[in-house]
Amino acid sequence: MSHREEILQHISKNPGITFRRLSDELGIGIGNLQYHLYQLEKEGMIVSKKLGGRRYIFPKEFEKEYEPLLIAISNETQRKILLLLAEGEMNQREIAERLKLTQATINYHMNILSKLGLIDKRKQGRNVVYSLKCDIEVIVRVISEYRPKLWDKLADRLIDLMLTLRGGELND
Amino acid sequence: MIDIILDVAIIGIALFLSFVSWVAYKKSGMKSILFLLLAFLLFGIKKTLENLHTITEIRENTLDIVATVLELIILLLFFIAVVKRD
Repeated sequence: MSHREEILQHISKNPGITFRRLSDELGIGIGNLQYHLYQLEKEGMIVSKKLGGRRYIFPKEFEKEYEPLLIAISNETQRKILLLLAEGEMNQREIAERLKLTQATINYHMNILSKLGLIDKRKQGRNVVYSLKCDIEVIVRVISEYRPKLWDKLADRLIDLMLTLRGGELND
Repeated sequence: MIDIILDVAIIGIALFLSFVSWVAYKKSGMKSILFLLLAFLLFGIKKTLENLHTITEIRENTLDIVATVLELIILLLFFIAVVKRD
């Protein structure tokens, strides 16, 4: 198997793998790997995006899913919500209690995740129950690799603070 | 001397908070955060103006009035940031 086929196979088995991890796991030099990834991306076999100083690589089947996923994980609360939903279905009240945030704040983030197409919602009695729409393994892999910058963390807290201050105003 | 060091620290923190607000605005698109950004920026400008008399010959009386007006604007911006709907 050629280097390029090996790289492609590894990316297909581990969607959302970072450049550094790919290099470590395959034992391929950075320059060599960069060249093969450039060729694979040019041929439309893979897609990649840089976020928080890391390049996340996905096979082309993730063409539609990867951008919304990376947008979502760039926010701390949305990352936590996705990880909670990876444990199982939950309603907004349960998520708010677990994350110690107001329901208005959670509602704002759930709307964003829903618009990004990452979560599903269905009625269960009087509650709306949310579940993950995408691959749990991919979400956990991408989130575990993500290292936010200090200002990113502070910006996320500022967003949540503004949402908390204004209570239920943003509820749909 | 200590007052200048403190003022420089205040200006630095105000600029950092402006940058954090800018990142938060880019992430969320919430217009209310833009008002916060403006308030932090004006706070930094106000502090800079208050120290201008040490390097230029601007009347302290004029600076006092400008600084007070800026304080009023900053408070208004914080108020708008909290009550504004996005």
